[in-house]
Amino acid sequence: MNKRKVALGPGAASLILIVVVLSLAMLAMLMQISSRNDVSLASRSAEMTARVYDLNAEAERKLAFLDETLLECREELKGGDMQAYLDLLAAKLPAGYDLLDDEVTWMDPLENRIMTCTVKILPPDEKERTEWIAHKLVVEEPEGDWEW
Amino acid sequence: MKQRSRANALLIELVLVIFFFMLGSTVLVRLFADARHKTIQARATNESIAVGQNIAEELYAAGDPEGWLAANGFTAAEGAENTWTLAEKEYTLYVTETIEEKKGGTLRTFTVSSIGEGKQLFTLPSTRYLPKEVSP
Repeated sequence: MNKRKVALGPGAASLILIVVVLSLAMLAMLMQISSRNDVSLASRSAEMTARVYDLNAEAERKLAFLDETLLECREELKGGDMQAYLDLLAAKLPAGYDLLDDEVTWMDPLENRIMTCTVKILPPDEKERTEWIAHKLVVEEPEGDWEW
Repeated sequence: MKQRSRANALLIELVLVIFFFMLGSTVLVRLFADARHKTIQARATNESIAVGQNIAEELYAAGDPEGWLAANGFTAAEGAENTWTLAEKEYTLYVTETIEEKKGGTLRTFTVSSIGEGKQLFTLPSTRYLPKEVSP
């Protein structure tokens, strides 16, 4: 019977060590890059979501302010017609609110997005004062952003 | 004699290889653990933001928010008024209610926040204006 002798020559162990450690280092580096990207993407996503919710909260606060102004107008007019009501509202509305016919619009920008809110002003003889028409977040993509 | 010195050299080489492997693996294991920790953190943030958004939307529309919170496993936080908590595996969710009375109605805000490993992951305010009906 021929016995095959497997000999480990000098330097072979060092060579194996270098290969193994380099491979592990490469793997660790790739894992680090991947996990760092995951963390930054997750925190960016959380930040953007929080900012959109902040915009929504701001829109509700602006609606509350508009509603207060409408109440003041109703108290001053004590009835009155729709046109006088809208004229008084136009005089009382601060900058940032746009009154067009019987609709009030305001916008809040967020980077390349704009939160646009529109409410309809209901006649002064109705119990409710406003009605939501639009409450949307418009994304403005830069031109050619998706071109390769 | 020559064979013996060769065996000694091999032995010394093996000892050195083991030493350097231990040294290298100590650093590498730390790197692997750090990467795993970061991945868990990212997963917790992603999961909690999805759950947090769902809660914020549900609370915005809820007629009985406290009932909804209780039905979904939230418990009132000790020592804090109008605050509810829900502990998940990798993060804890907190919901705080604030009411602001306005002339024409109520501004109700539920602040949904998440804390994972002592770090604030996000804060989502879910605000809704509830106008009062005033007779003309």
